Amino acid sequence: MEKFKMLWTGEYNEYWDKVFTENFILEKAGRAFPGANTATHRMTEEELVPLLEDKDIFLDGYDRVTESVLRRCSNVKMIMSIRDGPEESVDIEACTRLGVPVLFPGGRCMRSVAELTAALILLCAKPVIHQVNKIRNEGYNDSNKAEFAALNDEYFEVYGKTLGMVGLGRNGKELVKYMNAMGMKAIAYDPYCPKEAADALHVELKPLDDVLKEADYVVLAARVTPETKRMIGTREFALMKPTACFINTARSELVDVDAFVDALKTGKIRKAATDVFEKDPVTKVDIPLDDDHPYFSISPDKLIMTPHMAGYSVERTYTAYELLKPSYEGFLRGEKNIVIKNPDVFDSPAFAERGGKLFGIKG
Amino acid sequence: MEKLVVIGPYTDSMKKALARHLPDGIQMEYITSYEEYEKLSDADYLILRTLRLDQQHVEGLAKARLIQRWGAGYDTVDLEAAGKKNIPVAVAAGVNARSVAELTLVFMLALRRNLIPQAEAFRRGENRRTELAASSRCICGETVGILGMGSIGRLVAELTKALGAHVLYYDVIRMEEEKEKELGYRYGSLDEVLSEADIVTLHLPLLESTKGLIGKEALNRMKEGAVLINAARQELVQEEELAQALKEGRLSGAGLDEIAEPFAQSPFVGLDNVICTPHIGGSTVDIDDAMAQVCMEHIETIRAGKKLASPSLVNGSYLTL
Repeated sequence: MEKFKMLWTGEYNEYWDKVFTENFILEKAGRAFPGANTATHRMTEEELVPLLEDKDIFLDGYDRVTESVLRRCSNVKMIMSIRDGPEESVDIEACTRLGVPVLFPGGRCMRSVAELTAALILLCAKPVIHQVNKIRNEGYNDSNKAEFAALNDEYFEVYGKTLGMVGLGRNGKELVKYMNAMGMKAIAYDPYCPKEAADALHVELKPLDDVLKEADYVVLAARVTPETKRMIGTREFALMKPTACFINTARSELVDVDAFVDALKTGKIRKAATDVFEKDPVTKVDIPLDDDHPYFSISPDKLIMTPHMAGYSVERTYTAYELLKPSYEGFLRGEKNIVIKNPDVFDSPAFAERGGKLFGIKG
Repeated sequence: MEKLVVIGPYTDSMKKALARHLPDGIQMEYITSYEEYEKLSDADYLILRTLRLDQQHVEGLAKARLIQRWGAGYDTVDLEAAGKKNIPVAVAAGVNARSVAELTLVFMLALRRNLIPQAEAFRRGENRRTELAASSRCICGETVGILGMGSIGRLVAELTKALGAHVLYYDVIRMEEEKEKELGYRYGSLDEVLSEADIVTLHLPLLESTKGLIGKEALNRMKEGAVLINAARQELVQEEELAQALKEGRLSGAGLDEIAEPFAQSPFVGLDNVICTPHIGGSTVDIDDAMAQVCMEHIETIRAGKKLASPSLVNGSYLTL
């Protein structure tokens, strides 16, 4: 069986380097080199095209695949994105039109995101960061002991509290499993989640307003679409309990930032944690916020900020390729039941000339 | 009128809970320092949160019929001295288990992801994202080593199992093998737990045999890059040795809910991979009511002339009557 030419620009992993080298004629670029995991550069079209034009398959990290790239690299028959949300790098509609399947590792960041979100929920329930900082700055001695002892009234258990999920996809479901185990009661708004799937996790599906009104911890776990963009604004924050905590490890675009800042400053909600920011990751990945951004005017006791790291863990790099493998193997064997972003590509007239040339070739 | 002295400090929420459960015919008084200990001499019942009841304090008790701890630990009371005077010492076993287990989970999740250094750097306007992410790990798939399978250890096992971790434990009393199998836990010796776990978490009482248990030898057995969590008593860990292991990078982090005072002289000063909290684990506003209720129930039991039993009673072996 002939070997296909593949360009790899996703994060490096030693084990998968071996697997890909055995199975493809592999060319590595960008993050796909050992030790290059920290590179944040995203290739321009002019950088990408010369590397990609003779390849059959593109295993894409974070580099943009536009319609123009697809037209200039007409030999490319399959794209595998390492992203949970490949649409953030790849023009899916153009791929479908041009007959190129887009495979992706659904659930790549699932555990990382769910664990970090769980940590942020617990850190809203317990002012640990505040105390760690206070001890670092002031020490721990007789003079502040009484003050620390009084903090009991700000420490809560999450046990028995209500978790309100906005979005119940892979990441959301994984989080619910953890928080169920911790004794939280989960409710969710997700118009696309089948009732049976929610029932299986003991989650009650409810309208958005009810979720916001009833939850002690509101967690965003939705994708950005025209319908979800700025879905949480002044009206929505006003619905939340004044004792509620708001956790966003999804995307900043889901939230009206001014309304969010106002909600924290005027006590419409008790605390919040955000891992996502308007500028990140689209335009800038180094320091996503300016010092004069309004978030910095909110006390660290009220707002925990982490630098868009929810998806990051050593494990997720390995996991991404592990999740992709059955899909690309399935595609090459001629199976349609795979994790693919554009399943309608199979009906695209252009498919025969591109993706179709790989489809079922090993069947 | 009988007298109950509550040895503090207590928060407003705790005071309200105590008042709510106070039996009729008992007068309650709060004291917050050793200077006020003379008020203990004619107390019938004592509830103790922080501070200590050492031998000389216990000997000064003329009427006491019960020393009740607000919490699960009993190393702050001289059990033998109390026993000699026939004063039962009781704890509120299991009441704070969930609060402590949740705090343990915060420590694990935060340490494995370098969450607090990340958040601190971000606030300072620095970006350590990729640098710290390179060593950020998920709990899922890791081995969590639990030392001490009491009510807290069991809850920690349950919660970490739900996160997808492998549970390995050591306790002087092993669970029934069938139970182990059903829960999917593995039993190991102290050495095995120390050497195989990615995360070692202590849920042991402070006894002569456990004091300083985590010293140089134990730390050397631990896996390179592992983390240590101590939401139990500070004296279980030899702080200098732990700080050394952290400085040398043999361990990647530690979460400590109690530290020797004063912190200004602590070997952990300047280590940003150490999470120190001031023994807050067992305290949450949600358990104040249950804690107060248990304390008052024990007082009622003694008052009715009945006896308390283990695990509430902790100095039964010293009682002479």
